[in-house]
Amino acid sequence: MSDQESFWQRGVDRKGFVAAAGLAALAAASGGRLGADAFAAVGRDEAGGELLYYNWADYVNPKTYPAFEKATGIKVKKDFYASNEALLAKLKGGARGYDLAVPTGYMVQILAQEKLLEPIDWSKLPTVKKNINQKFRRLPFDPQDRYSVAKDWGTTGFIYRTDLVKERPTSWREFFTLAKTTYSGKVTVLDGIPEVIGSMAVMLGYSYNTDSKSQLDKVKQELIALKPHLLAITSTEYKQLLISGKAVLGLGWNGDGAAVAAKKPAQYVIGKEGGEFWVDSYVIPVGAKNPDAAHAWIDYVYGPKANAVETEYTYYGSPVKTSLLKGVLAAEILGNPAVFPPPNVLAKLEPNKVSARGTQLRNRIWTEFKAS
Amino acid sequence: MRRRAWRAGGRRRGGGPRYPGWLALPAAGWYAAFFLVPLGFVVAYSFAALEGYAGIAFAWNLDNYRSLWDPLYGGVFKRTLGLSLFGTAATLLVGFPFAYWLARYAQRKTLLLLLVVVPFWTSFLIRTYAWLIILDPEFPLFRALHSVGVVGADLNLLYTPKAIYIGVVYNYLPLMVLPLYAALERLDWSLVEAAQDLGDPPWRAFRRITLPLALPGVVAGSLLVFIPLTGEYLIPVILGGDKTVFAGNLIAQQFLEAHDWPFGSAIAVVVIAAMTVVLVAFSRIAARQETQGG
Amino acid sequence: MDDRTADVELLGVTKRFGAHVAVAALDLRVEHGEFLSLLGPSGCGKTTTLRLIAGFEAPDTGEIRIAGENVARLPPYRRPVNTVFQSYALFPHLSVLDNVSYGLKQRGLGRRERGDRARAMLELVRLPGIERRKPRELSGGMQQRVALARALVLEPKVLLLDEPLGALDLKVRKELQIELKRIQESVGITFVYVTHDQEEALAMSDRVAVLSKGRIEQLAPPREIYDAPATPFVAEFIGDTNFVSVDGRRVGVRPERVRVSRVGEGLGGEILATMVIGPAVQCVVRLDDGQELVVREQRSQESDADALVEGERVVVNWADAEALQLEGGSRR
Repeated sequence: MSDQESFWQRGVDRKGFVAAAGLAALAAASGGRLGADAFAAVGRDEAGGELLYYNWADYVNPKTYPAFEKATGIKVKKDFYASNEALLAKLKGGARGYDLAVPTGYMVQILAQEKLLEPIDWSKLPTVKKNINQKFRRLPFDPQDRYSVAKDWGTTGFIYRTDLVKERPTSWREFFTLAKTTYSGKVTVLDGIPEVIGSMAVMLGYSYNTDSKSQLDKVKQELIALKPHLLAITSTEYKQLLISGKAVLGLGWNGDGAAVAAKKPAQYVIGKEGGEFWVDSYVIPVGAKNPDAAHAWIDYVYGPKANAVETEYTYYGSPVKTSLLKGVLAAEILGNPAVFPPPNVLAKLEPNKVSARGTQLRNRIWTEFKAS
Repeated sequence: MRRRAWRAGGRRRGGGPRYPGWLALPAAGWYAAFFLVPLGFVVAYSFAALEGYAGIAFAWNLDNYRSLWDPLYGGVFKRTLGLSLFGTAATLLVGFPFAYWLARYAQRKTLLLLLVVVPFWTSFLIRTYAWLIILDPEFPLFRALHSVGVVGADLNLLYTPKAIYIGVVYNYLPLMVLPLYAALERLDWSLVEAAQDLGDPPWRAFRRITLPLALPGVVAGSLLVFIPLTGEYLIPVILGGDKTVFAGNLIAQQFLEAHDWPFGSAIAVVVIAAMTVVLVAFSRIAARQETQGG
Repeated sequence: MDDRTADVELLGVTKRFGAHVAVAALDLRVEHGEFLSLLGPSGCGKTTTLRLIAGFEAPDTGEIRIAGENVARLPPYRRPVNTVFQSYALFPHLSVLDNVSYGLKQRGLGRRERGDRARAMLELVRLPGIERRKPRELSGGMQQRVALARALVLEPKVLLLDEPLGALDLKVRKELQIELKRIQESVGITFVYVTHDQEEALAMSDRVAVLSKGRIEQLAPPREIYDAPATPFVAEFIGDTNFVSVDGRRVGVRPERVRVSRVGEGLGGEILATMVIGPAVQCVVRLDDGQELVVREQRSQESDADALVEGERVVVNWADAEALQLEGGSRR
């Protein structure tokens, strides 16, 4: 836990601003050519082949695929999963051939333990090495950077429509109470075991990662009490439901919250009691057909312009040096606390780090929650 | 006369022309390799336990089955049975009149049959998602029904059990209609006339003649609907908001979310066993119907 | 006579299917206890007439009375008639006994009573002991008799039979014709029998109605139909008829009424062909004026016919009384 706090309390790097600004200006002026040049520097002589990209839905700007194809000649094929657990299940079940996947930190660790990942070849990632914010190297779940490269990071909180909800909730307790009373039937929660159980645990004052049976039993009771008031349990459709107003409260991720707020009056909140922060990382699953293409993609999206394009779409925090982002990334996104939360907020958050025993208990609770 | 005797003789021998037995080997091999062996795995796994995050430890005990004894799971099984029975009855009630009309009175049979089958060519997923749009309160259908006064203004079927039932009937209707149509189409309608001639009003002729003769179609259609329905899990997730859990959801959850393959296997074994009992009972009833009179 | 003796009456009945007129202003009286055949080629309206009596079709105009009662509003299951179908229409999922006793169920009889009556009827049609079998196990002739038993057991006022023997072999057909006649006489029920086989109609019936294009051409006992056809259609349809012009008049004369010999009085001509058909010999004669005539004579010692050969010159004649006078009209 402690190394997490110190990591986040270091604050965003702002040294070398002028040099970075100059570099950013140069990058902006040369448009995509810098990305292509950096790419060429990798020493790829064969352009072409395919990349089979296994990802969360709606997690890549649609513009990026053709841009990548144009730059590298590699065609991208996509497949999707809706939760880390589903990814694990697929890979554990024997699915092979995916070149690239994006698990959350704790799942990177599990996948590595289960020997489902190929090592990353950093010699193929010059752009990454140059542009990555050093805070995102040697993350706790992959201390030797053997298997993963950060894609983005974010938090788990809740979103509400400011025009449809009179109150201004700031804590989980308020969120769950409103869900069970005034706005019953218009609430969604993520279809994710860690997020829902963790948030409930935090509301009750426990750790996000608790694996105490007595504490989890209390969480279970609260969950079962909440169930009848839910509109849907979904990680993929709640954005749409909030935008259309069918749901007014939703437990979700910060990126989705900012995306909703961009379309309709809405607010993303990290509950006062705490919550989760997570880092999603690129990994290369075992049995990848074209790991070179995977490396090519990772290196490509670390180009500041490409990265800005991504961040503009997903609204999740970028692991690229902020100095490089200035000028390419819209200022209101850079300054959006939902996308880039300030350090004091981050201090309250925990990454997902549930033990195996805890996971088993949570799975059973989730089954009972859904079946209730 | 001689030709008839020859055929009758062949029938008595019990099979018509005889084919060498080894012709069945490829199919049997496929069946064994891709059905029996995996089934064996499932049964074996049901006696194991989850280890770590996603590993399996073969403990060879009945723990998984003991966990299933919880009334929570009993509720899930009961709900699944309810859905399966409802789906079968509903598709039968909706499908039979249509199949009857199609077989007996319709002029453009092929065209209408095609209309029934064409949705099958679309992905099951897309068809189900389409219902999300139809059931949306903003969709013109509800506005029209509301303006005519059929439904109240606040009717919201989205993500409710009712939406699941609608989705089930819609998706499984062709499975019921086709066997029903096949059986009814073969019916000699002069038999119904004969029954009426002998004094039966239409409804009684239907009960004593049409229904018994269409029974094989009814049985086939019911099985085609009932059995897959017990494992249905997509419709509850998409149209039900993933809030209502049936046996199929339960099993999928264990395999896809909780990685508890042993537990999932145990649930699957229970469902398969229950299904087998139902099938055996069904076939006994059907066989008895065959030998008895009307 | 009085209405009570007529079991079936059709008065001015018309039935149209779309543009096609199946039955046109038909009048028919079927007397009690008679065996009446409706005879004609396909499409003449005989089956439609039967179905109108049974109630499976409703007339567009006219009235239908059964035993004096207007049955226009009665559906088939309430009319006191029963039908024997061309395809027998036995219920395949029921045993023979259940088939035969089918119509007895709603009469409120007990199981034993129903079984007894059915068995008695099976005796009548000479099929004892097959009651537990299923229809598919029976031959065509047996199925036909079961269908008959099933209809008769209900003691209808009129029994309607729709070409019941059409699907059977010649020998079986002939046997059943005799059977049917016997049963009808012993039971005394009125039979209305549809067929396109004139031999059958003439052999079995008390009266024959010859139909064409939805109308009755002639309604008379078989002998009269044969010997005195009322219209050219009947003359042509029943048996064979030669149509020749003699002295400016058209007459019709049956081949077996024509005598042919080497010498004698009559029309001269020459043998075109001769053919032996079992007990008879058939000759085609070309008269001197070019017309052709078919002559049929029983082979016997007294006749030349057997010995005639092609090309031979012969004389044909017939008795005036045996010729049909035709001047384009019909004669009753």
